[in-house]
Amino acid sequence: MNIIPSLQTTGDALNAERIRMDVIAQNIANAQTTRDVNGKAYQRKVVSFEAVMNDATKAARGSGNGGGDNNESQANLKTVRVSGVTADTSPGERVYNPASPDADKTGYVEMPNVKMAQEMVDLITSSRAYEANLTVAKNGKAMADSALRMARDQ
Amino acid sequence: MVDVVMGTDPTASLVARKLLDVQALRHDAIAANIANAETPGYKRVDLDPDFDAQLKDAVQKHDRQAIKNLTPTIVEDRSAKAVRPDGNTVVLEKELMIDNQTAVNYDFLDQYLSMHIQQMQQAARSN
Amino acid sequence: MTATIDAMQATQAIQSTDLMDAVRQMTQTEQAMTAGGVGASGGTSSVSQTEESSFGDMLSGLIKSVNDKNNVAQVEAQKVMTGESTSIHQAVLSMREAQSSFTMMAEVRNKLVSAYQELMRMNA
Repeated sequence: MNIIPSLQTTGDALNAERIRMDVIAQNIANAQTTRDVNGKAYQRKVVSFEAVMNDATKAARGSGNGGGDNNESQANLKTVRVSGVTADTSPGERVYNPASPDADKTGYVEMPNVKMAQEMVDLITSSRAYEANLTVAKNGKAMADSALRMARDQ
Repeated sequence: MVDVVMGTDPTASLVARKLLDVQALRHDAIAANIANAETPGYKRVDLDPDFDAQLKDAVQKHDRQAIKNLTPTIVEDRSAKAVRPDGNTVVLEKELMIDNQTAVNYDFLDQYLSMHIQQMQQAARSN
Repeated sequence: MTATIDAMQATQAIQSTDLMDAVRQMTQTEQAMTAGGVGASGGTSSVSQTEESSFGDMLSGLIKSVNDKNNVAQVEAQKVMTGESTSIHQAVLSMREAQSSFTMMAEVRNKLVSAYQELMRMNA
């Protein structure tokens, strides 16, 4: 049953933004990690999103029901998913610290390429998107309630 | 006989029922836009701009069949401009405003149709 | 507002035209039968029969309408349940219409019953 309109799409988006926030939190937590599991400085992770066909459209296409205006509309309504979490390979700052166990021959340590300002901006953006999707879900439910109230009025 | 009373909906009722479909569809469009607010290159979608004109036309001509046949569709919004270097055209505030308006419109249409049905029931009972 | 006026006029029509006329004719038939015996009943029974069939027609028309609306409501509700339809307002409106039609039919039936009882009391 699909009484609340587009709840699937909104759920997908909330999920995607939450993953993004988790990754940002991980970046921030590892801003000073000079030795990661692979022995090198931590590399910031980046989440990529992509727009994909939603399940309703896939179902309609699958049942051979490919034509008509309604299906064109459905095809234009895309949902979102995380297409991957990749490492940002740009080099981090090199800091002179010969006392550090991770210093190279010249006494420099490579720091993680995490820039706090960038991470904070990303976190705020992701958070705003998350809140916006919550509002959409709330409105969707309000619309369903409104229709159901019509059934109850005597 | 029941249809004499129930079948001849006033035009306003027909329009209200069609607009309910429109509001639900528009909410779906906004949900898709907001879901993809951070997707690189995503272009926002919305109701086909021709729909409003078609509806007004059919109402002015008192063409009930035309109203019934109207089909609202969701298309890419060609007039939307890119707000980010990656080409994404979604402006969160604008989408939220449209969605809030849509939800209220839907509620209003529900109230109107509810009142309409109630009146007919009262009319039948009062005799 | 026109719908309300239409509705009220239509229900008035049942009362004033069909119902009362039919009752009047049924009363006349009864009187004719008690006064004239077999001969009168032969002639007037065709009148009461015509009245009966128009009543029957009207009532069965009503019942069919209610039935149809009920079926539509069932189909729409089914579509929502299986996920085939996401427009809940369609289903709800169909259900309300079915309900409304049923109420109206019940009202007409009640009026018929009370008119008949009135008739029986007249002859008691």
